[in-house]
Amino acid sequence: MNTTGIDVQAVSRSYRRTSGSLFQRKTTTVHALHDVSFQIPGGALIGCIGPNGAGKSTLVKILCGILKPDSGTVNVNGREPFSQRQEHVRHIGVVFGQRTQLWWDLPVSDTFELLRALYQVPGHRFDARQKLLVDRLGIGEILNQRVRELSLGQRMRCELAAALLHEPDVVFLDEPTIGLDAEAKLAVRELLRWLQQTGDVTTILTTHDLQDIEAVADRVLVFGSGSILLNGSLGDLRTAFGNTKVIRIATDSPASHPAAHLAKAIGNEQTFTFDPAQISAADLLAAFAAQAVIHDVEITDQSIDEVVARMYQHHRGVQS
Amino acid sequence: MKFYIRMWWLFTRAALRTQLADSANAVLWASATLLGMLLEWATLWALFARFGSIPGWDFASSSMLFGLVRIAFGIAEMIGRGFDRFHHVIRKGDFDRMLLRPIPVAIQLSVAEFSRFGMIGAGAVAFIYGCSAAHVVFNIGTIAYLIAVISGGAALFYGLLMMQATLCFWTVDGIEVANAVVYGGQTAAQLPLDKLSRPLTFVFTYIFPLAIINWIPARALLSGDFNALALAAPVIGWLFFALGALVWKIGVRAYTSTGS
Amino acid sequence: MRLLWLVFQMRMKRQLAYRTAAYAGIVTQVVFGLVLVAIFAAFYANGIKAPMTLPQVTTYVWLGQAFFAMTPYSVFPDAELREQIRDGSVATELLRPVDLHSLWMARTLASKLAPTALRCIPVIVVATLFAGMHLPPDIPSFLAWLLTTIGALVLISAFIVLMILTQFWTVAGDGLSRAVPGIAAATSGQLVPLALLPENIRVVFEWLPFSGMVDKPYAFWVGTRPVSDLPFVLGHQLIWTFVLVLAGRLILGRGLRRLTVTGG
Repeated sequence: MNTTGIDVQAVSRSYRRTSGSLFQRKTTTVHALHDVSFQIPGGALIGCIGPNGAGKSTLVKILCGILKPDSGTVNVNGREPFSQRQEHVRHIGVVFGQRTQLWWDLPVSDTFELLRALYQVPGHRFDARQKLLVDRLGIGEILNQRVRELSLGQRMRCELAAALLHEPDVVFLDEPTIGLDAEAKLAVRELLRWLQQTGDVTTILTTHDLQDIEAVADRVLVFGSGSILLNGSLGDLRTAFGNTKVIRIATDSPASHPAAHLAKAIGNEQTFTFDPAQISAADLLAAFAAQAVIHDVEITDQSIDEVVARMYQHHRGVQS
Repeated sequence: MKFYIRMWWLFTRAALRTQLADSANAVLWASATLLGMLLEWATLWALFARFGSIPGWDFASSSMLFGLVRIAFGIAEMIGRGFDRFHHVIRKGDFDRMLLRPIPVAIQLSVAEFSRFGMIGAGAVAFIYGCSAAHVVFNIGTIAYLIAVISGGAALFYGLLMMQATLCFWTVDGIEVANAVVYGGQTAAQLPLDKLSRPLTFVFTYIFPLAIINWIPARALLSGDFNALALAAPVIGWLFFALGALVWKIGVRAYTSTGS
Repeated sequence: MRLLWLVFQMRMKRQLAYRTAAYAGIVTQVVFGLVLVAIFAAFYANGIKAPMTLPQVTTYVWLGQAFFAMTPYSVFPDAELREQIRDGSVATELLRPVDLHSLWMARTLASKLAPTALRCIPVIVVATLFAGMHLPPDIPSFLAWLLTTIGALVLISAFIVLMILTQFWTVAGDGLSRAVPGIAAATSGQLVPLALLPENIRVVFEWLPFSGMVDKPYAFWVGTRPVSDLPFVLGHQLIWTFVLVLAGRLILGRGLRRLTVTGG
């Protein structure tokens, strides 16, 4: 199994869009990706986040080999995705949240059988692998049900299994937890963590669900307008865009402090954000305690959603 | 290559299971198709009944033409249905999904759909009638020739379907044109095309060689004279198929390069 | 009602945007028109007397090509809708606060009208100038043709929507919408003018709805039907449209209740 990692150098990609009516044609060029470069070590789990249209899905398509970059080089585990497409797709697994890779009208087990033949996986190896995935994902009981009869959560788990049956060395997941209930989400994250631990698979996870990222990703790639705004760990993300902390206090009477920004006040609870560089949590708490009797306190990091939102804001501000 | 055939067979078997699950309906639809085809054949009969024959062709020999084209087109549609519906595949985003599988998209689009049996059946009835009414002699040689001709005709239409599908990459709504060409081609091919004006005959011999499933094989079977052109007919059909396959390949390459 | 008009407009705009398809369509129509005309000419060369003259048949054939988008063989109903029913996503259409049948009628009307509007004039011009097509004998005939062609448009749309709706009953394959066009085409006069068929068969075919889509309107233009027949033809079209719409609405009601929604 080849896990040398992913290497992208100076990749650009744009589209031409035509619009207009029968008599007037207008053509605009959309720059989906602009001079993007990054490396991902083999076996890592990367989260790709970014607003819609920022270039994530274009990049994923290029990495899968179904789209050709206008310029630049791409290397995935020693293969050139586009020019070696048939060979490349033999070693990748894909899960698209919105669309299914399974045969809609047939039982799940039939799909698995077809995939076995399609990816030419030797018998014993396949059986062992299938058993492993079925157990981990808890889909033993639904193997005989038709795909169209499954709930979204059940289907998603089957999609994951299907994507991993042939032991790919790269897996692309696009919104795998969208619409799933809590239990299903946890099952998916469990599996992703397990994948990570084996070290055999490089995983690219594209999602808007930042909890997913927080739960499983080693690193993140943040996209904005066709470029990569950040390539690093979650810690890097927080550091780059403010190490804001959140303090929630329950008091008899309202409290305030110039260094603390009031985010919301409900009943006797007030939630503030503050910058630990400006004032330490201990000092702030002491200042509040001097003003009112504190019944309850909670200090947390700012949620990753808010961090990322601020990052986009900053990026948009920089652009204009 | 063997791998592709095996996978094609497995996909087809899976699709067959799905289609047969609805077998009551399937029989109904096949019957309706058969009826429609027979009605068309009947209108052909009505024309000959009123007007007699046209130069070189009577109802029996025309029935042979009718039958041949229906059989060939039915087979082509049976395995080429995916290409016929390709605009859907693109619209739904399923094309990307197909690109991600380690077999050519063409194989995935060629999964058989058996709803075309009605057309093939009707074609067979008309053809057999025509042959017996025209006293065509059948022996090993002519049967072999017949199989070759039908395969060539099916290849011709299949190639056409591939080209039609390739259109979908760019015009997005080539369906109207495709419709017209497919229907027109079928209708035209069930009529004798060898006595038309020179430009038309040229079109149907060299541009869209319907000739190879029309007057060339029919004349050969009727007269017993299998000249070079008659023997070349199936080959021409397969060449057209090769052209269609090439166009398709280029289309896929171009589309994934420019994307959308 | 305004929503339906909007839907209609949008569809028209969309269809009109595809120029390449329109041009290619015209060429195809002309080529096959020439073939059919030549075949009929060969038949008529025998000198047998027939209820229609060769110029009339020629004109009839050209009408069929010019208005091909409105003929039964072009019954490829809005494919998008078909797919939606197949995979159940039609459920989202149910959330719209409007009568579904009317909505689909509006869509189908537009998708039939737009390609026709693009193609009929060029084909008619070419055919009249170069290929033996004749214009209507007088103004009343032309008007009769025009009125019944509008009726045919509505009739064929009702038919198509009904075909789409039968999809509720098929799991895989295209079912009726593939099988019926053959029957429709043969009985509509699209292949051979009904006047040329044996008398007893012709009478039967004329009762069916399909003749109202092709043969009856064309007959006005060609001049084989007197203008005084106009009320009968319109009546035929109207009654069948009513029947098809009624059947469609019934199926829609039953089908929606039966709709298989994906689990979970």
